[in-house]
Amino acid sequence: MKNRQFPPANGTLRDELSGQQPFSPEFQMHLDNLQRFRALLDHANDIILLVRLDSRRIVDANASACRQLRYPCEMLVGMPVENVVDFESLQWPEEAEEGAECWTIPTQLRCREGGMLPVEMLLCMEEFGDSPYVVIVARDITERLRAEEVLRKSEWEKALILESTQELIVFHDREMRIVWANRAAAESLHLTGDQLKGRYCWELWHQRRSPCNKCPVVRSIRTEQPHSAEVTSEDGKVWLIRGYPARNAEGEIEGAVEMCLDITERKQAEEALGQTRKQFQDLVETINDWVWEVDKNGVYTYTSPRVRDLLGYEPEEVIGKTPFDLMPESEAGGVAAFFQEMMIKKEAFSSLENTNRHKNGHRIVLETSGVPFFDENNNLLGYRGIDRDVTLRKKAEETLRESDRMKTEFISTAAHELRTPLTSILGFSQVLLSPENLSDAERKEFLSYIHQQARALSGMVADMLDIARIESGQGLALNQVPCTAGELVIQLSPFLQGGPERSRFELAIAAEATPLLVDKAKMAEVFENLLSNAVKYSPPGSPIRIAGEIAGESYRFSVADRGIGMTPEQVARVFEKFYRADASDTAVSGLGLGMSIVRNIVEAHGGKIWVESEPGRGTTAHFLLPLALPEASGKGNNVEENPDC
Amino acid sequence: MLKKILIVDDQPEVARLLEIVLRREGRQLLCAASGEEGLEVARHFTPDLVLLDIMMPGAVDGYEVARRLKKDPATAGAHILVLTAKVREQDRREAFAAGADDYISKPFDIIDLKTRVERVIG
Repeated sequence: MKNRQFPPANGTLRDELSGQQPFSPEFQMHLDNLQRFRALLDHANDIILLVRLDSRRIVDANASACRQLRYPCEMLVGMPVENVVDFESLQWPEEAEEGAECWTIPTQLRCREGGMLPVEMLLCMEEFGDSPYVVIVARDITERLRAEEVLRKSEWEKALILESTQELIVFHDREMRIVWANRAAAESLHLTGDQLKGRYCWELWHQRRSPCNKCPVVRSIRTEQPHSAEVTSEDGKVWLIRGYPARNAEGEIEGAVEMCLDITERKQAEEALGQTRKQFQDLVETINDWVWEVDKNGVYTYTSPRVRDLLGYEPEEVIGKTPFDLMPESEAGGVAAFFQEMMIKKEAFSSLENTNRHKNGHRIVLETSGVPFFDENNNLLGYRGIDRDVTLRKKAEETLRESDRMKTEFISTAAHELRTPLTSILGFSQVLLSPENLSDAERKEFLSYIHQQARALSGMVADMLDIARIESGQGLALNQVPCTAGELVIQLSPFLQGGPERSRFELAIAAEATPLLVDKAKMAEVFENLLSNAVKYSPPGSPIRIAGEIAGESYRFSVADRGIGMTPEQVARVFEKFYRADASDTAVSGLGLGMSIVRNIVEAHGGKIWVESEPGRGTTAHFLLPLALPEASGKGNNVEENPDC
Repeated sequence: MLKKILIVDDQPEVARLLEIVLRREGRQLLCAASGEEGLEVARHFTPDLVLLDIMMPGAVDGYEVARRLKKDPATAGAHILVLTAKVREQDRREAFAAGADDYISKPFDIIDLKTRVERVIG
């Protein structure tokens, strides 16, 4: 046991001692212990070196040391320890110090090829026999260092992610104490992350002594499920708060992660958008027009509720249909073709008139306008537009056109009718003014023509003025006086007996003394109109009957002829202004105003007028005048003041 | 030779006025109060000039009278002077198309009428 490895390498001692038989049992047992100890050393993964303190030479090394430092054992033993251990940064222990026999240091060992092996090195001072030794136990920490590096990088990345986000991220323990908070969370309170630790979120952010109602973080711990909620804080900000239960490797709840995002602006934008939507919806659903949207196949994807009023359908009945489904077949084809063309051209259109069928069957004329709408790539998505019910307008236009036509015809008729008396007036007056030799009888005759025609002219002008007054809403000014039915007819005498037609008139006036309250001049106008119509529309000489009788609370007059009569259509329109039953027979003179004025006069008296007629058999006009009450006629009630009464 | 003028007008006072204005020695004035009557008188008396109103009661109006007069060889030689209160351009055209030689609108100037009549029949 002189200058040898201690303990000797495995097997060396036994080989050396072989042949020295037999060993004492004690020695044999000691030898076995030594062998076992050597095996343990060689099987250890750690590098184990024994170095003499004074010479600093390695006196023994285990198998791991040789393998890891890449030296054969013979080379390693006896080598100065500085060859292997870098003592530049490491103080070699000069002597054993009390109380500091073992210490651990991280360092590197130099391998045979020059490579460095990171290790954690344990140095221990030991005494064997007379000499102090240093036992070096070194463990390769390459893997650990690499793992630590990976972990550090991963930690750094996680921290970077958590600290960079604007979202407030807080980890709470099971009791809701803050364990960790990211920078955004700390900065929202103008504190540091450390200052938040151990506090409660409700006291920090909400100035409360207990958790907020329905706190999603508290719930996530309790229910072990994620939860979220929108919370409005004291300062009016809106937060979207989400709580996620955090479990450890065993699956037990360790606490909860809270993620909290300021969504105030988003909420405001959503609210503004909602307002805008509401605004548009209100407008769209309030206007009288029907607002719709169709897709590129012409299928309704939206309709405002107004469709109910226009076509009788519920909006949901219309969705999925096309406009052409709502049209009569005769209309659908043409409109569909037009729409197809618009789709291809991607053009807007306006005021397209089209006929639709109301749910209950009748026809509705709609005026349609639409604009195309597109996706971001300018592909046509469909059309949006409005439909307006123009059925009434169309009818009104029709009526207006008819009324216009009648007025034009009236003007033409009036011009002609005025020319007729003017021809005589101007002609005869020119004759009278000429140096022609005329007899007194001729002069008188001509003057009577002039007078007669001037009167006719005056009558026409009066009619036109009456109609104009009625039209303008002024109504007729009546000058009603008490008078009997008989007196009314008597005042017609000049008309009845004056002309060549006098033999035609038959009178049948019953209860002549019946008191009435009338404007006598206006009533004369009524009779003259009815009588001249009877004369105009019946053959010369055929009888015209004027009858009168009491009918209930009224007195009824009638004028009957046996003339050409009228069709029911003509009867229905006889009281319209400008209407002339036989407009084609322009020889029958008249402005077409007479019957309209007559009706106005009768109705102004509180009476009623109607006509019965049959083509080829003749026409009878009837009118009722209310009977005058005795006291009314006496006191002059309902009578316009007039000294001539 | 005696010149014959036929007045066709349904309004008696207009016929009377024309009669006063046109009466002159060497002229014979004839009157008819309707289209039918006018055609009959014309066939009988072959007038040199017909003063023709357009709007008259009955089935035959002035245009029709003119057309028939021109169609009938017996009366085709008669000059036709339309005298009417219808004054629209289309009325004028229709009158000339029906065979009228001249067209006077009512009311008319009697001097003008005389001049035109004399220009036609002298």
